[in-house]
Amino acid sequence: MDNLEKILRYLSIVLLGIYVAGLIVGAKYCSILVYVVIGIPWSTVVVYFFYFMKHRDYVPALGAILILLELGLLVYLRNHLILR
Amino acid sequence: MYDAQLIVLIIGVFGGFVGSLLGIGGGSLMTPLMIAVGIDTKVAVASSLLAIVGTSIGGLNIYMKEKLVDIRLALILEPLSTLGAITGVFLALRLNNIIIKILLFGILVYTAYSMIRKPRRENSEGLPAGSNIPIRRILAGGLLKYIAGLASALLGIGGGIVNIPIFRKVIGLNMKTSVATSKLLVGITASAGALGYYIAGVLDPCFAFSLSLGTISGAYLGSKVGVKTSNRTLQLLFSIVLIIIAVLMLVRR
Repeated sequence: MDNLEKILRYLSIVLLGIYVAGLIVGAKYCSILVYVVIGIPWSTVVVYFFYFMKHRDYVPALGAILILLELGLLVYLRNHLILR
Repeated sequence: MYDAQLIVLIIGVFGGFVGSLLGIGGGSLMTPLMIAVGIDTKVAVASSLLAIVGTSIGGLNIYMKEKLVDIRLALILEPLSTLGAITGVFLALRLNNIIIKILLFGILVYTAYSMIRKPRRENSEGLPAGSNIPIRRILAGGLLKYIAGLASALLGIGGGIVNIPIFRKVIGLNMKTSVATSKLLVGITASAGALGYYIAGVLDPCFAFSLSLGTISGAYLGSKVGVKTSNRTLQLLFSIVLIIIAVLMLVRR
């Protein structure tokens, strides 16, 4: 198993842990779970970064830029009251 | 308010339990059920997406351990799937609820039909994770992944029902790699959809929390009961239940 797969495995375990913790804390503060989940798309950029560092593969690395642009688009849509 | 949350929790347990028993995504079951009990269509879709994230990352670790996830392919396809999810949220906020209901009705009928029909022998042919996939297939798969992302965010479903045929038939992966790679993509796409609904102010944190809690518990119960999906009687019974849910959802004002 290479380092990237290890990182992804551990990331999935950590995410699951945070998700379950969010569920436990969420009994009192429902929004905690929402914040955890909406953080996931942003955190995928980290995975893209590690992939690029390991493989020097530009095709998936472009994906990181696209994801960031798309998430930026979401924020733009909100700020301009289009996503309402 | 608490009564509604309890109902959503029960729907989550039911969706997670049945989904785990039958090997179908819980989303295609939970969203119509929530609509059928009178929860607003958009709130139901957004809550379902949040619950799907939990079930998606739940089993991912095992697939990673067995090296079944095609990470490179997932990283290439994910931006298109995310873009589809953003488009889905945009459309969902503008479309009439009845259109979303009709589309969900179609998904439910298709799921019921795929459970009723005789299971075809699933061959294990296809490319494993990490194979060199021709660019033409990746482009075609990417286009279809955009549609899968759109369907996921528009209807509050995981999208496995769309993803797996794309990976199997268009990209040419084997079944296990298709299921594992789909699971990774479903989680990220659903979270992007949930982000969109959150930004739009549609996501109700307490409904989403209750549904997620119910789904995780239901999926755990389902895995403990451990009835195999080959149980034809169970599949036929639940396909009837799916049709009833579909009709109830459609007639609900």
